[in-house]
Amino acid sequence: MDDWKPSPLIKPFGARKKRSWYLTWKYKLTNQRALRRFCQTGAVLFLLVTVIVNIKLILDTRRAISEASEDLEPEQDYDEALGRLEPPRRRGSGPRRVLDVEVYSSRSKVYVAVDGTTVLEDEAQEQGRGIHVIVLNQATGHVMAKRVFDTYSPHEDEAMVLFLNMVAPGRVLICTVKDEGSFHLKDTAKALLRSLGSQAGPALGWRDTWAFVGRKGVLLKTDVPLSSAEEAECHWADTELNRRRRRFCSKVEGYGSVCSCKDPTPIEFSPDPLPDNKVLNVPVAVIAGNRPNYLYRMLRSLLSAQGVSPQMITVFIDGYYEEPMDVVALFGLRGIQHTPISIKNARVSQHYKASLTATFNLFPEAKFAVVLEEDLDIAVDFFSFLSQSIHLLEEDDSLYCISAWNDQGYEHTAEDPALLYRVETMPGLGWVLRKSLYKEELEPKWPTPEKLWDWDMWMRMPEQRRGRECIIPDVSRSYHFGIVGLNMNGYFHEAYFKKHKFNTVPGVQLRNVDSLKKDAYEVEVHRLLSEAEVLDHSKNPCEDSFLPDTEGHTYVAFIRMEKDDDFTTWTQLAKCLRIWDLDVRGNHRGLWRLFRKKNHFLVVGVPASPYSMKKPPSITPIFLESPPKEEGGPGAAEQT
Amino acid sequence: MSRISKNVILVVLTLTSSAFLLFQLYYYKHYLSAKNGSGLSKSKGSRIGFDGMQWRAVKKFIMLTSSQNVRVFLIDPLILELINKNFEQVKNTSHASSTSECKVFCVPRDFTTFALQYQLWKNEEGWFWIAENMGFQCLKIESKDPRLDWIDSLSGTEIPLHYICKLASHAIHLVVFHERSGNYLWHGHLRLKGHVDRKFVPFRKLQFGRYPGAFDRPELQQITVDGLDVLIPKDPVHFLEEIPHSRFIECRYKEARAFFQQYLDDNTVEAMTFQKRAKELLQLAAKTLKKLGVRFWLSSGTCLGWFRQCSIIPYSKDVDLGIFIQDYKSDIISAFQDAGLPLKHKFGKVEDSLELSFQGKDDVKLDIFFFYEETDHMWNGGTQAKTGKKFKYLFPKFTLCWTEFVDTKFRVPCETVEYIEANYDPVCCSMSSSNCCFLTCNPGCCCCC
Repeated sequence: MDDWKPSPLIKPFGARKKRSWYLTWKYKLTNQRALRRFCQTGAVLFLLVTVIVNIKLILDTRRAISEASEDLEPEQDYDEALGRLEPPRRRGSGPRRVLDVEVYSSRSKVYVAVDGTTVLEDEAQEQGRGIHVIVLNQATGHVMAKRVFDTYSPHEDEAMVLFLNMVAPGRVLICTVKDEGSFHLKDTAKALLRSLGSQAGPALGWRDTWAFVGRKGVLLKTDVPLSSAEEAECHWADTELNRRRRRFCSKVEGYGSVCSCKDPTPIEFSPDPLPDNKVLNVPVAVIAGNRPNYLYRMLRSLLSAQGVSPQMITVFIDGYYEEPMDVVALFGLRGIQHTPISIKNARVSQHYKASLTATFNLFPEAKFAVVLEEDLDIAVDFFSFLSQSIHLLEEDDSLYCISAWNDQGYEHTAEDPALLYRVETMPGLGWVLRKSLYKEELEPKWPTPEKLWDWDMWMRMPEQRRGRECIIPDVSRSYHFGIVGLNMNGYFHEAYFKKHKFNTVPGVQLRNVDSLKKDAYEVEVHRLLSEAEVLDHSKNPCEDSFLPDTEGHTYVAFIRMEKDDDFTTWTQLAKCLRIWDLDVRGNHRGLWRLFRKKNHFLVVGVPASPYSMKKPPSITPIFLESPPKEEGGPGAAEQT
Repeated sequence: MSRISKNVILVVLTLTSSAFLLFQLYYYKHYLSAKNGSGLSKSKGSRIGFDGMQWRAVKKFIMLTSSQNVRVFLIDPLILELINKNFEQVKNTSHASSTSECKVFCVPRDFTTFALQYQLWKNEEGWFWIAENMGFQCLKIESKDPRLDWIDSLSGTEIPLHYICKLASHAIHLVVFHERSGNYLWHGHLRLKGHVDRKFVPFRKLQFGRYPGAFDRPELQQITVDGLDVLIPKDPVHFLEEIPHSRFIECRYKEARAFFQQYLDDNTVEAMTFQKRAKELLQLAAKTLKKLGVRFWLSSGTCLGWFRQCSIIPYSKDVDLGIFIQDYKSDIISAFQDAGLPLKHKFGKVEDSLELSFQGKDDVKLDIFFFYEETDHMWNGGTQAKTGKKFKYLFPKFTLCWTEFVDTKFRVPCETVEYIEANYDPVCCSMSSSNCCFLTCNPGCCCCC
């Protein structure tokens, strides 16, 4: 194409040298009028044709380019289209860019409607007590967060302050009280409400009704002006991670710095890989309900744990809640929603069953599954702990599970992160389940929906456990932070969970793991008992001085335990040691192991325990009587 | 003077205009060649080589996957066949292949098909992003996860089934294999959703995705073909043989749940024990027959159980399998004996209505019916052990599909409804209505004598 030669008719014009030749030609042509005319018309026609062809080509190329770019990102376009669905409707409503907010507060019912659409309605009995908070997008008016803070119970006001502080400035806030919301509403929270512009909030009294609508940063009446969508968006670099972040932040609220425009918190963590990771291909099932902020905290800690493999994680959400799904999508994980079956405890246990079945369906090659809950912090060495101990579950048939949780591992009773125990109780709260156990034993006879049983209580029953034991660490590898839940409230949490010890040291090397096998453990226990110093049984075991002020010693105490199921003295001892006393946990053949003042402290139940023979004849086992009035049943469980 | 300048202007305009036209034409050609490269390269014929679009697309794709540590393997049947044919040759010339002629990846085609195991895919989203940045236009086909179908109350994140990534004229079809219970790989049906551009690629020419498929998990090997390092199944012949018979059908979980809602599941200990034993027997039979290389399928009551309730019918007393008589091997009996299943009865002959009955553990029986093919139908013979009465079951012709049953991969007739109806429907009686005998050989069945 490059060597194209212009027609001889026109070429000479450009060649100045041949001007004379051109002139002669010209004169010749002038004389031949007809020919000249013809040439001129030809040139004009040619010009016209080129112009048309040029225009057509330009149009074609344009179309082709726009098509190509459409093909490139069809999905993105689709998403944007979805995202845009809401705002145009509002924009279309013309000059009236205000929200019409209706709020109702009473003892038995709360109700919030925005522009005539009910966004909150709660009239269920004995539920949803406290301050309901709704956050609206200031540009579109759609709901970004919905929370209840049971400020009748302790510490819930702290959670509310935390939440309100995390809401981005400019958002529309709606608060309303159901039943009671003032009992544990402390000064910090009241001051915050005042700073948000509430007048009645800080003076809220016992069982007062109260509602508040405002915009963070400004106090406004119930006609809330909307601002433009552009103002409400941040300008993050266009990466795959930020796409997820943008999708999340435009939809929900209350997650603080993850949505901050400047310097947002990372949503991808690259914890160190674990050398020789034996649990890399073990699926992780996260059991969740509708506590998205819990789930967010939980997933952050899980994804930061060394040796985690995100593609093995599945989050199972009990119910079609959007916000937990959004949290799951933010971290790029797999989320599965489950239609709730039955009610209360049975609902939880049906959710567990569906989740476990689905986990083993999704990972047919897996021999184990890690089961976690949404209200747990996961220790940095959680997978390292499992990697070092999981072979026990393969080699020792007398094991039921491996759990990251020590029921008796409180700040003052746990010490050694490298130490493991065998216990007869199933602690849950971060544990490993063997597939064969589930498929062959548990799944076929799992409690049916009409049985209102706790799945964990059911698993602890002798028919299921069949004398098998669980491996637990002395220092827990999970921390239960959930305050709201089915069987949980602030008081309960403070009494039994808040002071639990949680390992924060990375890469702990577990000591002598194989000594946890059935027979080896007996040898180990006998060795411990033989070298243990017998405590002075005349002292009051509830007094601090019962154990000498030493460090690194092993002490043993003998308590009365007539039969295998006689835990009267143990329960009283547990009570005064301020550890779990609601039912019996952490025992191994009538032996409890814990730490007191940095000394290993063994408690043997005499004569029921086979270790009773280690008792010197002179010692009389300690007997503590249960107080005459029984308070609280042992049925309370810690699960969601 | 004015006339001259007029002419001059005219000529200048014409010149620039034609120059511009040429420029445009040159660009348009460029654009066309990029768009319909295959068409042009076909017309050029001899120009197919290492600079071909196809080879470049494959090379780029392999670069992309290896940089992201994604283990894709080649499953394209045509290319695998070519590789298989030239296997020795390829091996010998692998070192010098960069200079030799491009033989495999330059045969003009619209697609090259790769596969990967989803389980081993670490960074799917990021991969997609990078692919688009490298110039691929990718289409992702997603669907709900069939592994969750059994539990009706679950709905989850969709799983990717197929990726089609186009680089100019050539497209890479990436089939995503998912692991299923029963140690096999499954790929989904390529169903286009409403908003997808139907002309993105010629979808009809795709080799995979017309139906869902099931494959044995292939072992992989690395080879160098046309200067490209690719993974292919270690036994390409076996893989190629699997392709035409890979169609997979899912159990109808929804209907099964409706069935249980109506009739309630039998949860008695006896029922569950029988189901457990029957399951073990089925798995053992499957293992034994697979070792022998004998094709078989679920028949009669077992097939009905799969079809109707996705489980073993608790009140049946045996498990039933079907085998084509042309697949009969004389060592079937001894193989079952070795597996701990002694022969209980043998009815008929190889030439006529053969039926083998093996005694499983714990009183569960395994019946194998042999099927005979006629021009327009198939049939098998049955004999009642107690009375010695003989029956002939007629079936319309059927083909075999894979399915999943009791955590194992089994074949069933693809035309299941017709098959089961022929097995159980009283219509069968009318064919020889004179001597219809209502026997209890199967629940709800009327057999023809």
